[in-house]
Amino acid sequence: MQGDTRAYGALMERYQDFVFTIVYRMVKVREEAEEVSQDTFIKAFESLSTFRGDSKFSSWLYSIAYRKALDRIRKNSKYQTSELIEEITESNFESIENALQYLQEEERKKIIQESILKLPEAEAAIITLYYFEEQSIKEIASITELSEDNIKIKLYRSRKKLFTLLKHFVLPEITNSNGKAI
Amino acid sequence: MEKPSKDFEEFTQKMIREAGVSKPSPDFTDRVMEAIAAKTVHAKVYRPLIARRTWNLLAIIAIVGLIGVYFLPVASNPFFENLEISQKIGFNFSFPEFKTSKTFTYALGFLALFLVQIPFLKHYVLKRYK
Repeated sequence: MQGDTRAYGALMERYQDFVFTIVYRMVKVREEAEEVSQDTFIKAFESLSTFRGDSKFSSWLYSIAYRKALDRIRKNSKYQTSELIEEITESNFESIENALQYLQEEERKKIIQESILKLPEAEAAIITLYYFEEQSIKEIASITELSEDNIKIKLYRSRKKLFTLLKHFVLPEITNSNGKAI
Repeated sequence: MEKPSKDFEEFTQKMIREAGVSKPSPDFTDRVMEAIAAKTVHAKVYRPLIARRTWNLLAIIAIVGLIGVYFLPVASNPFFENLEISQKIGFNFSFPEFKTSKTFTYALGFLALFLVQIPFLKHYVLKRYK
């Protein structure tokens, strides 16, 4: 048992940042995310024996994290994100890209992270799994137990929402909320 | 649904990459490993001090003994006669009288009340901080 826990510790070191990131982007609160990630790793340790090698270990772990995060969100519905109505067209994404270029690296990173945090929980997880962890649509479907078409739609929406959010951050003078250019 | 242009797709990827990962607090691994260690200790199967088989044996001995005492004629049994057990155990035994002062009774009553309160208070506090 001692050896098992040590090996598991090494495994955890490898995946903990990413599991935490996914969970954090879903539950939106650091402290809650730590708790949920902890539950995830404990649950994974307990059910290691049920892990059949027919999927990647990472996918299996993420599916536990995803479910745990959803459970937590359902428990406290106060963290639900608001839906965005305004959406951006692809044509003006270049202006956002330009505006982002002028920012300091740290600031840019912060703005992107905050924008991702503002996405609805499932979309925040899916966009991270797809673009950062480079999981295939099929793998994401098995992690989230959603259909592949649903994943594609969610990816499409989350991309647009992300740009809308970024636009609010970097180009506040042209948003609809204040109407006029400053 | 329109297909996203390649640039749009690439830009998204670039941004998500740039956002990177968020790190949990530094003692996260230790805390989880501690929790797991605690769980594995709890998972240890406890063996009772007196095994089930021993309990069964004790029960059989007790039952056989009781039945034996009931059915065996004490007076005619040479074994008991030799022990002179019937003379040794006389029934002139009485319980000592148990007298308590009023103060002691009250003290006992309050102690009982105090002990009864504990589970209620515990339940209340746990419910509050849940």
